[in-house]
Amino acid sequence: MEISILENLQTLNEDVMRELLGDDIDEIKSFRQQFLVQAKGSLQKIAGHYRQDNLKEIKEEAHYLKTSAKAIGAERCAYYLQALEDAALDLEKQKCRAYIESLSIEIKNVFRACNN
Amino acid sequence: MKLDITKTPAVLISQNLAILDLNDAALSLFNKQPDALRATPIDQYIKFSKEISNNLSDQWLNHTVAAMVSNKQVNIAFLPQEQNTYLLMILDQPACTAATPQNYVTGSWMYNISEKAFQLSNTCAALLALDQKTAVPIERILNSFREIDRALVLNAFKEADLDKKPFCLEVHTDHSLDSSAMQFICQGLQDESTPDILKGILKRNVYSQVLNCKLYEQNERRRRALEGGRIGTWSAAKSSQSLYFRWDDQTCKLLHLPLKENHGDLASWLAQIHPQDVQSVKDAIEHSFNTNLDFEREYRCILQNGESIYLYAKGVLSCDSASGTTFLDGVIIDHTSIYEARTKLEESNLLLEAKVKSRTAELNQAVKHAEMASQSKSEFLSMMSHELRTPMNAIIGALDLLTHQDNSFEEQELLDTAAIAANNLVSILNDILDINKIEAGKLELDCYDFDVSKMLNNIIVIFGPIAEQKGVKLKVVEAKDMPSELNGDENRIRQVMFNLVSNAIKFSVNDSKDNGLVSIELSCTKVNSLVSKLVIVVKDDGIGIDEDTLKKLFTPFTQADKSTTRRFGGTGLGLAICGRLVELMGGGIVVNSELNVGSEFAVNIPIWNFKTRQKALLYPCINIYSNEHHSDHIEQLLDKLSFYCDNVTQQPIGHLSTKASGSHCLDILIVRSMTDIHELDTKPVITQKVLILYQQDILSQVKERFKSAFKLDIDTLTFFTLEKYLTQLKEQTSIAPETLQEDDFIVDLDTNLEPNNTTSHELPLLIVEDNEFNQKLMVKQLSRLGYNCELASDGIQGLKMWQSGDYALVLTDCHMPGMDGFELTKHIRKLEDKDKKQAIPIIAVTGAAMKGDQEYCLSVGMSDFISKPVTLAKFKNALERWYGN
Repeated sequence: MEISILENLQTLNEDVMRELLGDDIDEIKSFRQQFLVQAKGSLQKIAGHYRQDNLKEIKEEAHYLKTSAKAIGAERCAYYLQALEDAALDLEKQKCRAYIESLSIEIKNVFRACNN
Repeated sequence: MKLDITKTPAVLISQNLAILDLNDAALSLFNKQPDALRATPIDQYIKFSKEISNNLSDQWLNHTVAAMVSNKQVNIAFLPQEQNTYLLMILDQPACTAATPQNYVTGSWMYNISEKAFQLSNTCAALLALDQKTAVPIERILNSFREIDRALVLNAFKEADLDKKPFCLEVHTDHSLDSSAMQFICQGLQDESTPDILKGILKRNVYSQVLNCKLYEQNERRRRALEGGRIGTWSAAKSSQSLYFRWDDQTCKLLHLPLKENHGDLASWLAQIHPQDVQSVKDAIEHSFNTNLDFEREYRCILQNGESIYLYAKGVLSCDSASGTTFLDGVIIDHTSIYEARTKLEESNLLLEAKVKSRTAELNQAVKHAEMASQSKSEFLSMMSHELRTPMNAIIGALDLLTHQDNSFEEQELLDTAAIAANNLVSILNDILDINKIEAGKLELDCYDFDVSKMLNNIIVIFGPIAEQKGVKLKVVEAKDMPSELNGDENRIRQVMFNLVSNAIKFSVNDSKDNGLVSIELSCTKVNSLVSKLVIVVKDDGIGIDEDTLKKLFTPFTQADKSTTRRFGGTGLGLAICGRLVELMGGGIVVNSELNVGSEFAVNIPIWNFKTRQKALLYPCINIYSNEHHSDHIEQLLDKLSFYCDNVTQQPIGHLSTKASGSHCLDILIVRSMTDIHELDTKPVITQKVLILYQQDILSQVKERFKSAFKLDIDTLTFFTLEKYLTQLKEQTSIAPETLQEDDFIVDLDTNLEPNNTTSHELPLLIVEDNEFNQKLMVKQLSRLGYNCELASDGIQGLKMWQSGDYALVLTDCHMPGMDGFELTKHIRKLEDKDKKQAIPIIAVTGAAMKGDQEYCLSVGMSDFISKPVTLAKFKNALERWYGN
């Protein structure tokens, strides 16, 4: 993990959505909410795949969620998802576990940021 | 003119000398048919010795002129007639230019002395006014003469019988109307061979004859007129002190007197008069003679047969200064029929006057009663106003407070309904109180912009339950081009609609059928560039209205009849108010009705200002799931949806996906029959947001099947309700579909939670549970454990889904409506045995926790038993035991 890179990333970069949608706050909120719903499902799926040692599926699910995370400006989430994707591709189960746990914490941070 | 009285040819000509008429003798002379002669100039047939001109001067009139007719020399006498006509008498003798009118009409006769009988020529018979021409007894001849001449003629013949000598007598005929004499000339024996035959002529001056003819004719006309009019003439002459009366034949006939009794003194004249009227008539006659004023009286006469007649008599006074005689000449007119009619009229008038007096008295009394009743009504209404409006204000206030609380959508709907009903009731109270204002012309309209669709929904919300209770189906047809807002008096328009819809539902109860149908149609049509009109049509298929009632339908306090009031209730004020209000708004109401078929009330209200409905796109796409593709309902729904979505698709119900189709699209499910419900039963419980449009007939089944879904009656769908529900659904969709918490993002990566058989997780679980909360809870818990679930809301649906789907195991509640968990298990086991299928694990999830319950579950074929509340650990244990086994 490259701490220096991670430190430069934001939990929720509001500029990203603003650039995509403008100042439509309701629409931005709606997309963030949809991301959280998707993240909840994906996280459970990733956990399930992990328990089943299905690392390939972890890679696919992480990749899928990463796109959404980037779209709403969840930069740190995207970072962990990319790391998870890489670890899964390398069949590094222990790394995967660490990234999934980090991802879980980071999504909670996004949730808090969205509701502030 | 009776030209035929003489055989002398005679021609009647006009002022311009054209032939108007002519007698037989003239026709014979001219040897022409009458039609050929009429209207032709007279000088075509008569060649006058001097030139005749259109303007006949005195030298022609009353003179004779020589002329040639049919090559025969004749004399023509010119006699002026009425209305500028002239009578031309064609005489045999040529006239001297200085001739005096000494021309005669001459007839010849022969007298048989022995037989004392005459033989008369035609002219002679005509002069004597006799039809008989041969063997005419001398007595008949004598009777033709005046009485005073008869002895003279008789004596002359007696002498002639003896001496056979000629004689010449001046005689007057009794029928002659003028006083001129005729010459009765005996020329002696016819010849010597016939010593007992005398011959002679009867001569009369031609002018006398013509005059006589005219007089006769005039008299005839007068006689006929008097006879027709039942008018008699009379004359009284007074010389010195005596009065002498004469009266005509018509008077004799009127008074039923012999014709001979046509003269007499005053007593004779008064003899027929009713004793009570005698003095009055006598006084009037004397007064007339004394004062030289005309006589006029009405009096009664008593006829010989005892009958009474009513006469009107009038006389005009004149004096003959030479003789000193005063004449009173007059008429009597039979007024009996007029008097009788007048008497009847008077009697009728008296009767009518009595009736009018009686009715006036009754009406005065009725007015007093009405005024008292009106006053009582006003007092009653005031009291009602106070007594009803005070509690209603409290209700409205309380509802308003409740409305501002944090209510669920369903609670808010109920509160809105209650508030609408309360406000409408107050409005109606106010409207009833306004009836006096309406009738006094003091009601003023309160116009503002309002949502007409909302008002329509208002009506449906109120009357929907009432109609449902009465078994009457409500149907709303709202035109696509209805304005979103229009300017008018909303309260008054709503009041009119309230009355019409209320009546339609009330009278839709027709004995000949079970269910009624009331339709409300709203449209807005353009009249011209400035004015449009709101058209409200309320139809029912009820008892109908007869023609007599239709005429008085808008009269206050009027209903079809008392039986209608007894059967249907009501004050009879409703339509009267409607009629007045619509009139006040410048519109009108047209009613069409047929007994036992139904009624239609069409209201037209002019509208000057309105806002057309604008598009308000709420969804990028809407999918309609319906097994009907082309119906009025679908058409109207598509019309309405076009304002909220540009992309509306239609699919059969079978294509409905029970999983969310995406947060931006909306699914609308149209359920119109039990077949649709059965089809949906084979599908898992719908979890996505969907709007269900249902048919009223299957409301209870729809409610049971789709407990938490948004539902609307498709028959009473309005723009207002559709937009409201679409907006609400959109808001719910845009909000997170489920409430998220931080814990949702916790992951459990411990391997000890992993099920043994990971492959079996691909098969879903079937949860059969009627309680919606439990459904959600169980789905959430099982999801946490990594299981996919599908839901059935009861045993019936569960059985269908088990048959059509592929599930790892069944979790079922035990106690459910329809088919419970035990029955479901029995059915599944039976079918498995029959089809020799592997038994699916069935786990009971129930609130019952007694030991015996568990045994009972196992006895019916269930595999396991979990008691509520079910923790994650309980589920985990049970599923680890049974999932995939």
